[in-house]
Amino acid sequence: MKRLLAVTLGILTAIGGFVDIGDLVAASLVGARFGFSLVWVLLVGVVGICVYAEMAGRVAAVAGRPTFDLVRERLGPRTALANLVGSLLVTGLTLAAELAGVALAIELISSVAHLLWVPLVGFAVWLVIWRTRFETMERVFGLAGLALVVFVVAVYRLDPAWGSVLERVTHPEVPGGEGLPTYFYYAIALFASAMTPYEVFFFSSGGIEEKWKRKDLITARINVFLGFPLGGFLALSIMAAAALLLHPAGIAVEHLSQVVLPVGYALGKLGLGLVLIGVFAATFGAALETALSSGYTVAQYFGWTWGKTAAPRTASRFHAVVIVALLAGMTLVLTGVDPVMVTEYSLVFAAVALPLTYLPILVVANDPEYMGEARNGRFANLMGGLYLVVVLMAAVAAIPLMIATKAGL
Amino acid sequence: MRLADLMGARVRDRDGREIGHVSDVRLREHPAPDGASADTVLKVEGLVVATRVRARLIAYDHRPVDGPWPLARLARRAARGARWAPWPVVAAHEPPDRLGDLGTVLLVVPGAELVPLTDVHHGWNTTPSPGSGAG
Amino acid sequence: MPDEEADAREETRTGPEARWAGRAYSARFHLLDRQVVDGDDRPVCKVDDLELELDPDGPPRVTAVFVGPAALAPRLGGKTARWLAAVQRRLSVGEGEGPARLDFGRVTGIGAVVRVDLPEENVGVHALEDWTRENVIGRLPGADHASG
Repeated sequence: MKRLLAVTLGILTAIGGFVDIGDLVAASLVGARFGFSLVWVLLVGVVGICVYAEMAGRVAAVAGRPTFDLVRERLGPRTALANLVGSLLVTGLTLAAELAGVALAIELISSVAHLLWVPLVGFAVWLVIWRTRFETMERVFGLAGLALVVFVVAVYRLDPAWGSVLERVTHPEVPGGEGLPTYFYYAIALFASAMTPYEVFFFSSGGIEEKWKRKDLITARINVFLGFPLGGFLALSIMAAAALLLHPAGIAVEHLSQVVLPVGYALGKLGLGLVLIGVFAATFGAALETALSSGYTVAQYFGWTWGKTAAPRTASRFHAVVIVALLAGMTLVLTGVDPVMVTEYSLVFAAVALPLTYLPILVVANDPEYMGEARNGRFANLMGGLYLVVVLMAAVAAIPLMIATKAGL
Repeated sequence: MRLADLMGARVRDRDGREIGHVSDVRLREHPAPDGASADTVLKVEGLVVATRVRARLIAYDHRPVDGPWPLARLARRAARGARWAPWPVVAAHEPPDRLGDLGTVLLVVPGAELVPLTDVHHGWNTTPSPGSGAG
Repeated sequence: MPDEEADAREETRTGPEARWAGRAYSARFHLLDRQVVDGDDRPVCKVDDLELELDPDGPPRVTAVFVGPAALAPRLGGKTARWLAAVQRRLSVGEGEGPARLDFGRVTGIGAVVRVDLPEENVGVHALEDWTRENVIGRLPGADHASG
């Protein structure tokens, strides 16, 4: 049981990457528009984040260094600052969207307009960061987020012809009426959100908050290889549910209420209740992850004391950054912007932050002075190198595709 | 004086020719004189002068790192042409004119007399003396 | 259980850390931008720059670690450097006495982190931390207790 609970860091991290509000809507939207033809991207993304989260977790356990510490050490203060700005914009915009997402989930339950809930949600997120133990936090929100497995049950209940689904997954085709640039724009958006940089910031910093040492390498690895595929699987089931029900019906997904539609259709009220709990926990968990990540990145760039395990008095700059990030996120949401659009535009900044985050991890994971015997083997380097190329290509293509397709319209 | 004044500074040789820039500064621990607060004092040993374009690759050169090989190869290429300037050949150094610009380092020898850096990737951290035959 | 913690720390160290005469470093890879921690592994600051003292008879000697935005600014280069320096000047209350310094004699180890021996909790390198604690974080209820 203890081993099982020890993987909640991986699960919570993966939730922020795969089923946060932007991805909930994006996975559903992609399923509704493109059927099963983009499932392969999700698989590519899951493997990619596993490769790099494993390295980042290993560096955290063996050398005791969190990711953004290495970014500055390896890229120098100037390039690292560019990464810091890019990462903060991705993380901050996502945080804003999550606050709106939690509020939207409450709106679905309470029928009270979501903007009214935003300040309360922001305060609740801060309170959890301020007062809850790190492990309690990751267990509660990681495990509650797993309520999203109702999507898996829903897919099963919708009883698709599995043979033809497999055919459509393995032989992807761009559906009629969709242009190739739009297809690739969504492919990159899905891939970038699977490998979004705050996942490794949160995961490696969380490992240090849990005081991982060399003997915990196995815990780190179980976290990675259970947590991230699980997150990917949830995203996959959301996409599949939309592909099975909404795609044939020609329903376009624009709002959270349409995301949960297939579950309500397949499983009735009980399913709907569970999915709302899942959405609430996942978006709240993602809000915690992104709020903490903002603090982690800034504090690690400047070398400040950071972390939830220290008394806030001794890490006051870290806590101040978290508070500022929350206030900024709340302000942005209260202007009434569409939270899903916000996460889509954060792709631009992810293009800067992704390569500049993953390169230093790969470099340090190879360095015997940090890693000793635990440095990368051939397989890790092959995969790391391969994904670095993929990340670079995605980064280069992201912005032109975004402009060409007007963000996937 | 600050280390940052040296890092990246333009290097001019005895004849006033610009031969490259300072890509790294190497330091060594020396036994401390009596009465010092620590056992050792850290002193500058010399400068690594990059004579080629500003190809500084992600803190990968100068490291005992072999993989993944495409990155290691790129790093080696970038570090080719690195020269060793032990501190005694440094005649003078000028801080940058204004904040954010580069400083200048003047040498007492012609650029051709600087020896190539031979231990870029291995052993620098443990060997007793850098840049064999320096000086 | 301090012993246990020390053991755990020993276990995680990979490269050498002690400063012995003859040991050599690369400024870019062993010193600049490294994390500085205290004896209990708590982060203190980054090595933003080093102070060198010129010696007419020999090579310059490292006398201190420079800390803070005033030390970091020149290393950013170009416009960013001047911008950060300008911001720092406007925010600081002191009389432009240069960046905060941490005496290099206090450095006990150089490895994956730079370890320093600090006399007490506060070493005066943390003007911003002190200000934030006094004026914001310290005033919130529960600031003294770690959430764990």
